[in-house]
Amino acid sequence: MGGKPTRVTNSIRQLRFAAGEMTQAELADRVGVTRQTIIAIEQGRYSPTLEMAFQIARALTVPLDEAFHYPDDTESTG
Amino acid sequence: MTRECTESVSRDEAYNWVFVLTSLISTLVYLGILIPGMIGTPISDVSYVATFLWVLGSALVVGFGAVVVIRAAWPKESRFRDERDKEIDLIGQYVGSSMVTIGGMAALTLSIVDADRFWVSNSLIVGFLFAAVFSSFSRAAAYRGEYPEL
Repeated sequence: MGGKPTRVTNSIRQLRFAAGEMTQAELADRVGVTRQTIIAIEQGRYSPTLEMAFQIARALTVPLDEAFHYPDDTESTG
Repeated sequence: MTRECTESVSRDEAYNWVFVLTSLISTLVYLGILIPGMIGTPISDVSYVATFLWVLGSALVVGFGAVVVIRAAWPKESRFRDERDKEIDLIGQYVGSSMVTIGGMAALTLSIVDADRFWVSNSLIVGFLFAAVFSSFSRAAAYRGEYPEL
């Protein structure tokens, strides 16, 4: 079974520490998911839905594109 | 149940590991008894119903017992099913239903060509067993980050 690598990266871990050393459990509680889902997202093993991504960014009090990043193809090809 | 284990694995993933083990062991035991029993015996005389019922019953009892233990042992905050668990469950259902369909089609074909009841029944049984094995393995892989392209 070939996994489809996600190109979405995130800064959740750094943002948690910036937000008063918020734990994974606290973030999970605010977003309404299990701690294992937060771990999977931080490690890039799971791409959250758009709605969950917004909820994570809101819980970390940052805009969406500060929490999640997607490579700009025009930068590498241009 | 160690704390390390309950912290790294969600409750639904733990349930799935029970399913991985019970489905794999059930399939190996069933085929391990059935195939040697077919050697040198006319197919219509090969006993499989009691074997299947014992394997199925044992898997259900062991699986249910393990689920009860996990439900009690898992931390409160991980005792619910979130979006990711539901998505991964769907992947397993998709894979499992393919196996059941293949088993069903094989049984239908064998029935049309008037094959022995042994072959018709076992196409369905093996279809179900493979559905359990492949669906649980695909869920386990998805939990570890190996998402199939559906």
